[in-house]
Amino acid sequence: MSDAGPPMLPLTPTRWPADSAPFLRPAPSSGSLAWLTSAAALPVAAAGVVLFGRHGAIIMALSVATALLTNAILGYLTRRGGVIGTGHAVMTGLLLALTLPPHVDWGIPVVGALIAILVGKGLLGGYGNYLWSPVLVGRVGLQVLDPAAMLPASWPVLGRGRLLVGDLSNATDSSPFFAWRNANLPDGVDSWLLPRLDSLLAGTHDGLIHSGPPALRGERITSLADLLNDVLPPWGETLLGTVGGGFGETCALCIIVGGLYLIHRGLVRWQLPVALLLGAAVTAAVFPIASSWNEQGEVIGRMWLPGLTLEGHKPLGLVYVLYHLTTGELLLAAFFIATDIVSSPMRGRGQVVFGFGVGVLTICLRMLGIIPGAAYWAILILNPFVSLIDRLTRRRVFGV
Amino acid sequence: MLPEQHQPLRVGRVEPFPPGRRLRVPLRYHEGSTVEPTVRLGQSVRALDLLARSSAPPMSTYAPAAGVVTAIGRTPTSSGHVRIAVELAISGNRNGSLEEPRQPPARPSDSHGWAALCDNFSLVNTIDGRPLSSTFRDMSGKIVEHLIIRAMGAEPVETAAPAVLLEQGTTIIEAAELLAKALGAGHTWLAVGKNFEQGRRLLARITRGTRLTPVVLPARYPQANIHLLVASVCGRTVPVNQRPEEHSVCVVDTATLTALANAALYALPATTSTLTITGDALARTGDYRIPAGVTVGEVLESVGTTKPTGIVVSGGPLSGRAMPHPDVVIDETTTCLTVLARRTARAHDAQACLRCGWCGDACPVGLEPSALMSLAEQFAIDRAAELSPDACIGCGVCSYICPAHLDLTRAMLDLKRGHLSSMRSYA
Repeated sequence: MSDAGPPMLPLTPTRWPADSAPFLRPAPSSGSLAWLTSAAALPVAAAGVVLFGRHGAIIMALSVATALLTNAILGYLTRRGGVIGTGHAVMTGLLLALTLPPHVDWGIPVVGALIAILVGKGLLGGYGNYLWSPVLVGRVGLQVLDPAAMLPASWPVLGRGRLLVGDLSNATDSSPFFAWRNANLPDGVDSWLLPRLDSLLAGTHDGLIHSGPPALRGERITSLADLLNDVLPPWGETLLGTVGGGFGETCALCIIVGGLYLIHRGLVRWQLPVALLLGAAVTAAVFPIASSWNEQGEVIGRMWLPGLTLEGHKPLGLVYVLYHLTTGELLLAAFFIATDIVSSPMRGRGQVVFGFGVGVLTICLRMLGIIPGAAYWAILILNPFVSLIDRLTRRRVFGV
Repeated sequence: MLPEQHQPLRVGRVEPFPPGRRLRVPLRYHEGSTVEPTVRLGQSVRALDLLARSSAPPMSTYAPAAGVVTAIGRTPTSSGHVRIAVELAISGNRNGSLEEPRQPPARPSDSHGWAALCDNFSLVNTIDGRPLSSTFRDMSGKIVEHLIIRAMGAEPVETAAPAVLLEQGTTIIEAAELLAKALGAGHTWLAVGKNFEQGRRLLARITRGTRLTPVVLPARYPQANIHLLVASVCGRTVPVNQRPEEHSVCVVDTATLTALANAALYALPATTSTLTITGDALARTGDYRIPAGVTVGEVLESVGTTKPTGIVVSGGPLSGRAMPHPDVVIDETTTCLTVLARRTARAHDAQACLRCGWCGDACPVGLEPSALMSLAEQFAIDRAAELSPDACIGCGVCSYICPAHLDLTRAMLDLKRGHLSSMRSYA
């Protein structure tokens, strides 16, 4: 309105601070988001310690400590100490430890956390800008540097009565493999060497078992019923986590509890894990499995839609799909790693696209047996497409 | 958007706010016209005496209380403008001609007559701050399809509009019917928030047998924003840079209707406004009927503060405007004054954007504040224009929700206004 006219009326000299709205900022800070994620991962870590012994706690502590130290040095060197985020370093260290095999040497978590923070977070853009989740950068770095330690054929699991207190270093083969749960451990031995269930499931594609104790390798899987009834442990075991796998990958129940907490606190949108599991379920239900062989043992026929298999009235195919969802690294990736705030899409709709893509890709990579840790690779492959997904899933602006 | 408020809205009586020793009455006029006081320095005026009349279209300003003119000059007002004001030293007799019987004016027959009546009694539409007569002038010869009466505060803390509804329900219904008839409105809606239970019960009773349709809207900020309100009530999308009048919709609030009723039925000009006084630094909060010309400092003095004052806001804490000093005059378009304690209003350290996407999820008009902010920092105005920053309604939800405590709202409003300076940083 008008500025011209009579002089200003006299004003008191008191001045109040200037600021712009909003004047209330109750949102949790970015640091506390990472702390909350770490807190949600604690049940998973605890389950890891119970299932794989105290060695797991040492791995976690080393990983977190290295991540913190590297982060502090990085913060000092780049003079952005406060900005870079201590909480995020703890979260990265913890999640990295959860993806590691339970019997690795102490050097592995140290090198992994170093790569995660230095390369994944520091060199690739910093908190808020990186393209790939630092946890996965660390893990992939380890897989490249020391494939033997990261991708063993058999994975140790503590035997009956040895949970929490047992030692993984003197594991023994179980023979026959599927009787390990009821078998008694030899004297002085605490753990069994078992195959990863996801690699057993992947065996259905060419009808052969590729991993696990030597006695088991090369065995033929003749049908789904054969696999589900005789080779795999009961499905409930995959929920509790008494199966071969990474330190924080096996206990599906704890992962789901932690993930639900993250969804409840609004740190994770439900769309991503749900779409990821849906994508994986659909792909597992469709992906063909070997059904007939010639005399030389080569696969000559494959059956599509194994998810629809029935044995009498038992929905065998459905059980097969459920095994796919709860084994391997899929759940940990769905709730804790794919949902990384920085490297996942910003919109709920984009997260559906991204999650579904990760789910589909994970099962394809797993079934084709291209590379172990399929879900991690699927996330890494799709992360660069996140900004494209964001652009394609923009909301309609009101009145435009 | 922010989560819906489930606690019932607590609304008390609208308390009178007696004028203190001095009033700086801002003069009312249409944009583009000039205004001259009709009083001289040293002249004694009675309450409701004419203080000024603007050039065409003529709009009048009246004295809220009896007193002596001590100064005429410009003053900053709470909506951010500088306006000419008449300063009155209030004398003992505060009522003046209020007690005298007044003749109700003749009922106008056309929209020009209504516009003149509104200007003569200095009626202002509190929602957009324009004189109420502009609505009649805009809509002259056009069809008003929807008349929406807003009985919701613009922000969750604002209770003035609901309080007025509770206190003067029947008057508002009467005035609403009057206005609907004058505008020839097809549908008349009365919008209340879902959490305003007292008001919903009252509405069900008093709108029976009238042409008013009560609408209950989610009590979710910024639902009461004029554009979102129109979209929710009558399903019409009014772009943010346009007025509802351009889309045959007219929105007024309850305080404007009581002023209209006073003018059209009792020939009383508008010299007061209803103000919610709230905030955690205050001893007494509530809704007050304040005379024109009271300053922010006088309000603080009158209600008393209990904690060190951090920031004084005209409007609510989410979208209001910080008051620079105590001598700002509260004008007729201000419906809320928020006084925040120093601890509450403390500044937060901003951090780098995490790409969490909460701002985009929360934006009620579907913008992407984080992307727009980074474009604003790069001066990429052309690229920013593709993301339509013009649609920003300035509600402040993006900044409120941001875990990195970035000044997203400021970036969006800067882009919208086209003011980008090299010194600006939103972190």
